[in-house]
Amino acid sequence: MRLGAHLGYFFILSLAIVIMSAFYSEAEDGPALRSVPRRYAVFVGACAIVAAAMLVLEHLFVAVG
Amino acid sequence: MVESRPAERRGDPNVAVLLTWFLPGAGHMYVGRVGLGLLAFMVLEGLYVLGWLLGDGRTFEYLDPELRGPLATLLTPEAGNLGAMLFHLKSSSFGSEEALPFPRWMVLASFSSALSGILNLFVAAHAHLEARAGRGTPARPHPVRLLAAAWFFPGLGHWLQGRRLRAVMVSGILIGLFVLGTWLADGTNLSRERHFYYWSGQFLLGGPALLLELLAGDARVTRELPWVDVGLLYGCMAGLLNVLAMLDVWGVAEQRWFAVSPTVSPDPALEGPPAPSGEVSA
Repeated sequence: MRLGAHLGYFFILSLAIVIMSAFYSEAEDGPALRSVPRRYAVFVGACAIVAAAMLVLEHLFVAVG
Repeated sequence: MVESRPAERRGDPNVAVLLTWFLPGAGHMYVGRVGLGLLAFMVLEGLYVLGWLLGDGRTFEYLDPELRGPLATLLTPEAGNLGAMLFHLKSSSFGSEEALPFPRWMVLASFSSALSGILNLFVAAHAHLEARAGRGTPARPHPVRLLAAAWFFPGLGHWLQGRRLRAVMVSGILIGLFVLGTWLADGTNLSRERHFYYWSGQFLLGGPALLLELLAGDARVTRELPWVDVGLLYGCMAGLLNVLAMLDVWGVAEQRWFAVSPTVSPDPALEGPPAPSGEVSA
């Protein structure tokens, strides 16, 4: 449940980041909004890769459990 | 129809910006706008001095002792008025060594000095345009006015540019993010004393952050706050994302400004990176 809430808060903030960066990159509202799903998928996917790498490194080198 | 005239430049825009950064108004004096430079100097340094007097020069005492250092204040709004900030550090450093109660008007003191730094960024942007544009630029919504509006209320700059859908979305996203963050942090984010650097980020949200802090700042913590970190992050990110919105407003405003002004210096080397938005028409 705690993990679900963390993921939920992450998805909210990342959506805000992606929409604002789409607005910054595209002059017209239409193309900017149409690019949001692709940008969002790339952003979340990249964050997932970084998170996975961090978890692997933690498990291999700095696990204290 | 605007009369076409040869390009006319008053000075190096980058020099004007650097001068303004170190001393408000110096950039304007450099490009020949002495009166405007003096006005900017008096208002912005006056704001900083007011903050200093109200807070006994102890604004940076908010910073946790373990974080204090020569570069620690560069991530504060005061860094926008670099000369005053350096003088402040030189004369008062991080405040008293003793644990003394803060002066009564400490919050206003903090607002005043931070506002001086933010406003000086707008003055620097104005000096940059003044260095590039000759006299006789047609009266239009000035890019710096739009930039200041975008800081003061997220989305307002877009609205004044006629980009209404974007204005509503920017406003809703950023203010919504900030309010949600404040709710998650139970208002504890509205205190520079508690969260020095997060506060600096959310100060970039402008009016909503200032207003909410004045109305509900310095909240008491009476229970465990499980999502305070998320709340702090949301509040800070709302301010940082407003910088993107301000850059978007600035890019379009600058293009429109120069598109209708034949008296500007069209030196591409001075134009910087391409504006974020390709919209040119007024």
